[in-house]
Amino acid sequence: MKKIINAISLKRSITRIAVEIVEENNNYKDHLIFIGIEEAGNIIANRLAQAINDLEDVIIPVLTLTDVSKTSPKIKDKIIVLVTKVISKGWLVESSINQVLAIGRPQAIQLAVLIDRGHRELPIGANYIGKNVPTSKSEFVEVHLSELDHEDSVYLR
Amino acid sequence: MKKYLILNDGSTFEGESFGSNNIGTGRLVFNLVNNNVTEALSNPSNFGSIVISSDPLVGIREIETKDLQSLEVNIKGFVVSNFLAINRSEGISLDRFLKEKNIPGIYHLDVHQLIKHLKNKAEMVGTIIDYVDQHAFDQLRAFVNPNNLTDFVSTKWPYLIPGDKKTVVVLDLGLKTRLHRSLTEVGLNCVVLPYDSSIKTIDSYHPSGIVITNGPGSLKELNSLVIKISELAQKYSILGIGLGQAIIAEAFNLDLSLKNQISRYENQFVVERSTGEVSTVRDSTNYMIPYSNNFKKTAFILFTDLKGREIKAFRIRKHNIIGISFDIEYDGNGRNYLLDEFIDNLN
Repeated sequence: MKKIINAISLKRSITRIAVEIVEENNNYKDHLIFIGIEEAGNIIANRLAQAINDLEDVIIPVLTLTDVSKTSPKIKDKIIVLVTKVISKGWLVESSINQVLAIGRPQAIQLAVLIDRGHRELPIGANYIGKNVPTSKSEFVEVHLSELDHEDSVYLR
Repeated sequence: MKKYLILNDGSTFEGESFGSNNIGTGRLVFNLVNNNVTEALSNPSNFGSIVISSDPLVGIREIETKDLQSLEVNIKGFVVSNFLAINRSEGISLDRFLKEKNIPGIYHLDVHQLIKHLKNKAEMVGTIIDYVDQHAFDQLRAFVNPNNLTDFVSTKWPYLIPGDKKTVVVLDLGLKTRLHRSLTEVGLNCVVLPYDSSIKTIDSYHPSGIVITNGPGSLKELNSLVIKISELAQKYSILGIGLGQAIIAEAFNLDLSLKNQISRYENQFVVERSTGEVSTVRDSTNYMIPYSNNFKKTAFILFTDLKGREIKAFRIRKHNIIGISFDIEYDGNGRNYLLDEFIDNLN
């Protein structure tokens, strides 16, 4: 196992994504919603929201995908940013987009990922990428987050 | 032999002579970093100045030619509290080096007292001389500090530092070897240009970005560069270090104030905003950017000082324009990550 990102670089990546989200969306205030795709995605979404709060003093709501299908929040005019730890083939993201579309049509759906490891099987690209890690098919990327694994790091296995 | 440092406020400090026997007059600059003699002597930012080193004991190490920051050594004098004259068969001793370069030096001078005396004083001029009389003071008062320091240190002709990655233009306000080395290390193909190059000249090299170096000059003499940079900022990625940062800040109308103190090269602590990491850096700029909420509208804050009152590094919103007040090639763990971030974002 090789460590490819340490705790400090991970923080920097998250701040950088937060900055890109703010710069990309002029009307992000009152419009942005973060949706974490899986548990790790949810944690990263919360950290992104915290980073934007530090930068701009704006509170961005963070939801999980289960929240979305259970409570059906109003998403008209909203910019949805789906957040996940690793994007590879793209099927998970595709099904998440479908879950969001099932409750309505937002203004836009964007995708933020910590690691893009390639091997896409669908025409899906991430709007915000923490780090591109070109991998072979036998290599896997493991994202460790302090809330789940007691440390912040990314390993290539 | 006795030697004296006289200041234009009328005070005199006494010490012993070493180095050359010439008389040297220039503005005073502090070097508050230890084990840094070679760099203090040759840093282009110290051009035409008398360098006061707070190093408690110099002379133990010989001058390392690889650490020389510029080809020409252009300081006017060197003041230390203690100097150890060791005669070596190999290497160049400090005494011999100063003699070769015709630079007068004083040791056994109470540097602590001198720094205390100069604390909170704005720029000051001094002379190193071997007698003190009214005539010496008169001459010192008649001394006019050149107001075009950048002109002296900037390259006169363009030259290339070859690399196999993207091309950047380096505007030379006083490029030093260590920055030069860092740029080579990351593989940038650098075209070093005189500081007063026209926009047309810069365009003609088709660079991906522009690096503005630190230097001894002041914003007053670089007004035309500020105007140029505000125009170039629409097209290019820009990285400004030290004085370069001040130029970017001025070009974007950010709050900027002149530190009311003698120029100093010193170790400082900075905090990285995104990670909370504290690191030591070397800072030599005379300008400071105070923290304000207004600032946040134009730029993101990357580094501040420990109290969070002073902005040490920033990035302009929606541009790949980074300003850093400290040396990018030095922090405790090696090269600063901002240089890599700047290179990643070159278009």
